[in-house]
Amino acid sequence: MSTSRQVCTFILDGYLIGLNTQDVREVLRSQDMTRVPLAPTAVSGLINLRGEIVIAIDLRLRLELDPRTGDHLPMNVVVTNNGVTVSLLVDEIGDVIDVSEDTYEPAPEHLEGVWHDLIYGTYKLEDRLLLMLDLAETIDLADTTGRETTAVANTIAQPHCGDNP
Amino acid sequence: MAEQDNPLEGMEEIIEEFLAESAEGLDQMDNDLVALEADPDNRELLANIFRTIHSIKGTCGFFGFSRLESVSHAGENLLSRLRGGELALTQEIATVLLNLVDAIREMLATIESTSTDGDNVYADLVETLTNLTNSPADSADNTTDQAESPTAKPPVAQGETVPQTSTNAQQSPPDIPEQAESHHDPTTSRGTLSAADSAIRVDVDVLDNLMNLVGELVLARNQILAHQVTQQDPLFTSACQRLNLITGELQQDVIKTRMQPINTIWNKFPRVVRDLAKHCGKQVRIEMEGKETELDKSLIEAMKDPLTHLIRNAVDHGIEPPDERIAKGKSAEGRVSLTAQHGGGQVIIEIADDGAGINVEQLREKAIALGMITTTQAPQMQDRDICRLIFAPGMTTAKTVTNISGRGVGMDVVRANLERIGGFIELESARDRGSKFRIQLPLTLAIVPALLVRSRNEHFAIPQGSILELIRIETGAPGSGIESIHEVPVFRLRGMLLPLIYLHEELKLGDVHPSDEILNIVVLQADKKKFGLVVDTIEDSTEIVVKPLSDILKALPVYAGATITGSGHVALILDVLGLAKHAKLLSETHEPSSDIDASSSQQDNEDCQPLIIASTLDGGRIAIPVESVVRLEEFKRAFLEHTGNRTVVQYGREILPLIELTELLRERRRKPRPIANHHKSANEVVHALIYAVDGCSVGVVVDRIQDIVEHNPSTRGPPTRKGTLGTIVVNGKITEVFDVAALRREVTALHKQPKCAAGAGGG
Repeated sequence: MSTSRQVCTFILDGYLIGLNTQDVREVLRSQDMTRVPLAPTAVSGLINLRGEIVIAIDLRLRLELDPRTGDHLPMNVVVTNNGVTVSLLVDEIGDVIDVSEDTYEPAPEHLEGVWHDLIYGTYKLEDRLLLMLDLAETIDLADTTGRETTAVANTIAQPHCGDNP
Repeated sequence: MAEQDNPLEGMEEIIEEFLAESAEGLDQMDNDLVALEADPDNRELLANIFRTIHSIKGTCGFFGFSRLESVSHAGENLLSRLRGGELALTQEIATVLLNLVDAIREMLATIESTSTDGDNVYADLVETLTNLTNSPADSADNTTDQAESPTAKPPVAQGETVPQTSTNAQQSPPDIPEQAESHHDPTTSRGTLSAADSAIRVDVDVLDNLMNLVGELVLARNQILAHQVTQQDPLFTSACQRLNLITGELQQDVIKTRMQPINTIWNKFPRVVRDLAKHCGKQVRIEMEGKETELDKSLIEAMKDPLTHLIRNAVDHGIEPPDERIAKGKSAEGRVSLTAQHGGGQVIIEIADDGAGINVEQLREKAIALGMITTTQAPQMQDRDICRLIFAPGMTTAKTVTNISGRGVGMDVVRANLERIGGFIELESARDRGSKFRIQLPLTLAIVPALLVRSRNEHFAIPQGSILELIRIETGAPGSGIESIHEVPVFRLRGMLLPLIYLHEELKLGDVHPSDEILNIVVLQADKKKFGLVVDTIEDSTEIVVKPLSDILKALPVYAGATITGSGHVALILDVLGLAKHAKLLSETHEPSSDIDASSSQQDNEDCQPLIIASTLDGGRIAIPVESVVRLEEFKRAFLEHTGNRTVVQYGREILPLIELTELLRERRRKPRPIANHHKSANEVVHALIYAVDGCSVGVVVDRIQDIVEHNPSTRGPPTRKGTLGTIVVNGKITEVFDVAALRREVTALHKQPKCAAGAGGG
C-alpha cells in the first residue's frame, strides 16, 4: 500500500517544480509591482495583496536561471511559511497532482550551489521529474548555504510526506 | 499539574477574569498602601485594601488555590486588626503588606502559567504577618515616631482617593482609567466593579486587527474618491461623500479605542519611588499631573521602560539625602514630578526633580576621561551641551555604581528607545535646583502624514515629521544652482551649505534622466543634521498607513516601511535617518561632535559661521570661512596652463590665476611653484576656491575639501605659520584658520608685479 500526497506544481524554465499544497495560499496573475531598490536581486518587488504588502521573489533569479524574456508575464504563487507570506514568480502554473510516496527520492547529492540547497527531493512521474522546492530555504535570502540545512529539511520533509493520505 | 487541571476544566475564563481583576486590585493596593503610609488614619484607603485582599482570598478558596488562600488569609488578619483600630500602620507593616502584594502577584503569575498556585508557601512572609498581627496594640504610638512615613506621602496619589466619601473608591468616574490594566496582563482593561456595566474587555489583537482593517478602508475610500472625480452621477457623488465622512469618523474612533491614559504606566511609580527612596534613605514624594493624557497603546508600552529609568534616576541620583538637602536650605523631602499634556499633535511628558541637578564640571571631567571630548574642546562647550552628553553611550554621573542605577547603560538607551518610537528627549538642569527631562512623542504611529515624491518613476513616501521645507530651483541659471565639492553636491540655502543627496543615486535607480531644468529638493532633518534630498517630482501630501516591511527586507536601513497609495500601488516609506547614514552624512563616530558643533551654533549664532575644512598638500587641516569664497570650482589638471612661473586656467572669459594654498602658508616666496609640477595625472581634478580680489578672480587650490562645519572661527591657539590666524578645534582635530586678509595682500602684491593677470590676458 502506498501513500500519496498532493503537490501544487508550476513550470520554471522547463522544469516542473512542486510545493506542498498546504503551503500555497493562492495563485494570481501578474500583479503590479513596486521595485525595492537595494534589495537582494531575487526580490522583484512588493505587491498589494488586498491590503497586505507581500514581497515577490522571482524564482528564476533565486534559482540562478536565465531571466524571463519577452512579453511573457510571470504568475504569482502566494505561499506562507512560518507566518511569512511571499509571492513566488514562476513561468506557468501547473496542476495540483497526487504523487505516490513510492516514487519519491531525495535530490541527488551532486546537485550544485543553490539547487543543492533549494531542491530537497524528486518524485519520478511517468514522463518527467517533479522537483520539490524547500520553501523555508527559498525565502531565506540571507543565503545560509550548507549541507546541514538541506539534510534537516530532508528529514523533516520525509515523515511529513508519509502523514498525508 | 494534570490532576489539578481537571477540577478547573471549563473554568479558564473565570480564572482569567479573576487574574485580571486581582491584578488591577493589587495595582490599586500598591498605591493605596503608599498613600496610607502617608495618611495612616485614612479609613477609606484601609477599607479598599482590606476589600482587595478579602476578595482575592475568597475567590481563590473557591478555586482551591490553598497556598494563595493561606497567604492572603494571613494578610487579611493583619488588615482586619488595622481596620479595627487595634494596630496603627507603621512603615514596617506597610513594607510587609507591600511584600504581600508582591507575593500574591507572583502566585497569580504562577497560576496564569501553570494553573496551580505553585509550591512556594511564603512561610517567612506568613510568619511576619502573623507576628505583626499578634503584636501588642500599643504599637499605635509608633505612628508619630515614624520620621519618614508622614513626610513620604505622595499628595497626588492621596488626593485621588481621599475626597471620596463613598465606600467604593472605584466609583468616581475620573478614577476609572486608573484601574486600567497592569501591563503584565494584556487581557485586562479598565474598570472593575461599577465600571463593569459601561465597559468591556477587548483583546488587544482584536483592536490591532480593527486598526488594520480601518487602514484598509481608508485606502479603499481614497481610491473611490479618486475615481469619483471622473464620474458624473450625483447619486454616486453623494454616496462617496457619506463614505468619506463615515470612514473619517470611524478612523478617529478606532484610534481612540487604542488610546490609553498615561496613568496606565504612571500608577506603578508611587510604589517605585517609595521603595527606592526607602532603599536609598531618602525622602521623596511624587506628584503627577495630566495622568489622564491619552496615548496610543503601542507608545504606552514603549514608554514604560524609559520613564521608569528616568524616575529611578531622579530618586537615586537627583534627590539628595535629607541632611544634605537641609544643609542646602531645601526641605528634607525631595519632590519628583511628572506632567503630561497634549500639544501641537504631540504628547509632552516632563519628569522633573528638585534635587542636586547635574554637576556640569564633574560631567565635563568624566567626558574628557572617557574620551568623548578633548581637553581643548571641553572649555569651549556650553553647559547645555555638556549636559547633553549624558545621552551618549557609556556615560554615567553616579559616583558609584549602585544596584539601582549608575552603570552607564541608561540614558543612551532611553534616548534610543524614545527615538525609535519617533520621540525626542531633552534635558534642562540647574545646579542644586534640579533637573527636568522633557519628552515629546507622536500620538500614534500607525497613521502618519507623509509627502509622496517620485524619483525615476518610483514612488516614495517621506514622513512629514522630518521634512523642514521644500525647495524648487531652476538649474539653468549658472551661479544659482548646485555647487560641487569634490563630487559632493551642495546647495547654498540662505548662506548655509546644504549637503545634497540624489535619491536616484542613493537607491541606484538608474539614470533615465528626464533632463529637467528644475530641481526639487526636500530639506530633511536627521538627528540634528540637515540635508537636501533631490527627487524628480513632489506629488502629494497625504496620510499614510504605515505597514512594516517583511523581515526579508529588514536589513535595508533606508526604508521605514511601506504603504499603499490611493491608487492601490505600494510605495516604500523612506527612513530619513537610515538614508542619511546610507549616504554617509551621519557616521557613528562623527555624530557626537557634529551634534555639539550644530547645537552650539544655534546658541551663539552671531559667533558661528560655516567653515570649509580643507586638507592641504602638506597634510594640514585648514578652516576657510565659506563667506569669503565666491565660488567653488573643479578644474581638470589637463586644462591648467602656465604663463611664466604662474599657473592659470581659462575660466569663462577670464583667465584665472591659481595659487596653491600651501604657497600662501609658507614663508612668502617671490616665485611660486607651478601647480602642475605635482605628481598628479592630467585627468585628475584640482579643487579651487575662487576669491575676488581687486576686481579680479583668483583661485586658491586645495588638496581636498573634507567637510563643511558650523563653527566659531575665533582662534584658540596662536598662529602656527604665515597666512593663518591661529588654530581652532573642529570635530576634535586641530585646524588652522585661514587668513583671508593675508591672501588679499598676497594677491595684490602679485598683481602689482607684472599686471593684473586677468586684465593682461596672461601677462
